[in-house]
Amino acid sequence: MAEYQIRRCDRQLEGGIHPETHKDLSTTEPCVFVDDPKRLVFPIHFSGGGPGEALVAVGDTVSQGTPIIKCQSGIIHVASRAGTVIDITDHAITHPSANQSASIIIEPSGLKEQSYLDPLVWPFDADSLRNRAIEAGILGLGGAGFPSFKKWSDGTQTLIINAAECEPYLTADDTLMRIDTHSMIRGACMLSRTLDIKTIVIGIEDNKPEALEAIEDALKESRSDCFFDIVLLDTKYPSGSERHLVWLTLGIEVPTGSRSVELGVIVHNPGTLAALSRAIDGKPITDRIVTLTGEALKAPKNVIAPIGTPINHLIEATDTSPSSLTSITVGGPMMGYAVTEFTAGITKTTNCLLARDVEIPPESPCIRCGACATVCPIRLQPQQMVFALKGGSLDLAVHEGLGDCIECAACNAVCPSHIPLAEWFRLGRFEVRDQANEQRLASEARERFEARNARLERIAQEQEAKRAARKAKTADALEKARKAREQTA
Amino acid sequence: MTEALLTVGAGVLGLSFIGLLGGALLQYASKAFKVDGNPLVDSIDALLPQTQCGQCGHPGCKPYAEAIANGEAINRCPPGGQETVDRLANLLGVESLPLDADETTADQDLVAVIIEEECIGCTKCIQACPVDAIIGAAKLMHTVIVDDCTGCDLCVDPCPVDCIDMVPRPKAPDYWMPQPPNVISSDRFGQIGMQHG
Repeated sequence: MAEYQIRRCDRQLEGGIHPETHKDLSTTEPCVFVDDPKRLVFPIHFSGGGPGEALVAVGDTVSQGTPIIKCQSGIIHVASRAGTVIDITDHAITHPSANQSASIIIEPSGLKEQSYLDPLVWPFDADSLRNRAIEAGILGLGGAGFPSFKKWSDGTQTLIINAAECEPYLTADDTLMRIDTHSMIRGACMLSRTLDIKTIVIGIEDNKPEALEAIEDALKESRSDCFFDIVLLDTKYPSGSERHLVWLTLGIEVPTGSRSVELGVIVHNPGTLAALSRAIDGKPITDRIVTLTGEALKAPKNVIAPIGTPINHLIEATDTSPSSLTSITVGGPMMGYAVTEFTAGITKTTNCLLARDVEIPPESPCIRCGACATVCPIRLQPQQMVFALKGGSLDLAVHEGLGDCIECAACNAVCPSHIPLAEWFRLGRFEVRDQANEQRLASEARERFEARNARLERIAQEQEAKRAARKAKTADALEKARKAREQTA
Repeated sequence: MTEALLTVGAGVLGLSFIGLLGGALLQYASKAFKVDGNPLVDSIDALLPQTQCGQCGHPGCKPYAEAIANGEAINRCPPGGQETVDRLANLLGVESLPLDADETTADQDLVAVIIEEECIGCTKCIQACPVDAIIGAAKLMHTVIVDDCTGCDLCVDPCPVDCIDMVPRPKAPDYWMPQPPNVISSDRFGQIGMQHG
């Protein structure tokens, strides 16, 4: 039995909101596998892990687990089902850019052909584990899709399992912790052993008693020598934000501009750890749990779906006609984004498809009530930032702390004037990113310009020096000739 | 009488001493903390886009920065756009001016591309490039390093066979911006109900 303790978090999240959670909508039905869809869509550049290149050509036959995309970060994405590559073309993608992007389309054959990796046998070192995570395409499955291996540095002291799942409606992590607890615990233990981590913290909101019970049962059966510190958090949004979770569980505040990794703390989603456990056995990520929920779906539930499954196939799996919906939210109702092209395939970061029937309230002017500042978990002044952004002054917004905004949209949820604050912030943060990039290019250009000027000046000086030397030599020779003439005369 | 003289003398001497001491300190400080160049020029230069295109009438961004520091108009930088003018106005504490450029040249992010089949290898563009973004050698094909090109178009005119085109800067394949109105769902799907507080 692994040692563990359960304690209630003694810290309070500053700010934050208590939205209606609507979680029972999707947890009352059992989690099921969906039938294989007719086609699978894998965006080459937007599957997570940076821009990629296709490793297969049209007409190729692939097995479940055949590498099909290699990303710039090294991450390899595999075919989630055996089948044939029928096309590589621009296709709608599950992504907030709402653009079409080059995608690999696979038609599943229904065969059970698998080409998995060799199991990794203990003892193995951190590098082998990193390589395995790359080959198996392990990304943060909580939604951000950050390549997990990049977090695994040697000085890590603590692993936090982010089981807060504070977004309303979302139950994918909750479901995973109920049905796949052992994989999650095993993945966490394997990672901790290779990185020599002593403490594993599980941060879980107190609205998931079933998951907590499953974790306790799994820990009682586990033979791990790691110590598990289970922290029960108050149900409050956004306690699952990485920065806030680190503070709530460990009391460490992550400074502006740095990441928890730099402080020796790594945070992983339960799904990522479960996927890692399977990757050690040789199975790359081919499926994930997706929450299909919202009042507009007839039979909301969690499903295990192959990566690349088109959204309309999943909507149909809830006995709902895709044509009855105009738009669907990918991710939670707070931070998710809308997708209108239902032919797009889900990616590794698609944790939830949410269909709601809500009137969009019109925006009214700001009444300076300060409600947004009260709920901002970063203690920013959202109203000031929005004024700055609406006035076109990005610099002022950055001065107000735009760079620290986590886009949790708590401000949106409480604004009585229905101002889309978080939309402004998300767009603004992208502009900041672009501007920083431009500035980097400008300073590189300046360096090259100055280096070139210095070089041209040096060449000019060298030529001048050569000319002077030549002139002196000629004068010398003339002088000698004159003297010789004088002597003979 | 002598006492009065002594008092006055002590005062004069004391004050002279303090004056001398202060003078020496100032002298030392002016040597020890001497700032090379005009710091204002560097702050202005940092705001300019570093295209080194010469459209302002100066041979590069730094010379224009020096000219601005000496009182030249701040609106002569088409690649920087109105944004740069506003920032310069903010830095210098002066009234912002409308950008002095026609609509077509302002605010376009372009890069030079050499049509490689037509290049004769004359190296004229290499000599013209202010930021060393073109590589090649005499009688060998040249090419533009797209990531290093500032889009100044100084290489276009010297080309004797007219094989350099200005094209929009290519984006990385995974570059994206969120597209309104689908940026964040909490804006578009109505307000979330609250339990309390």
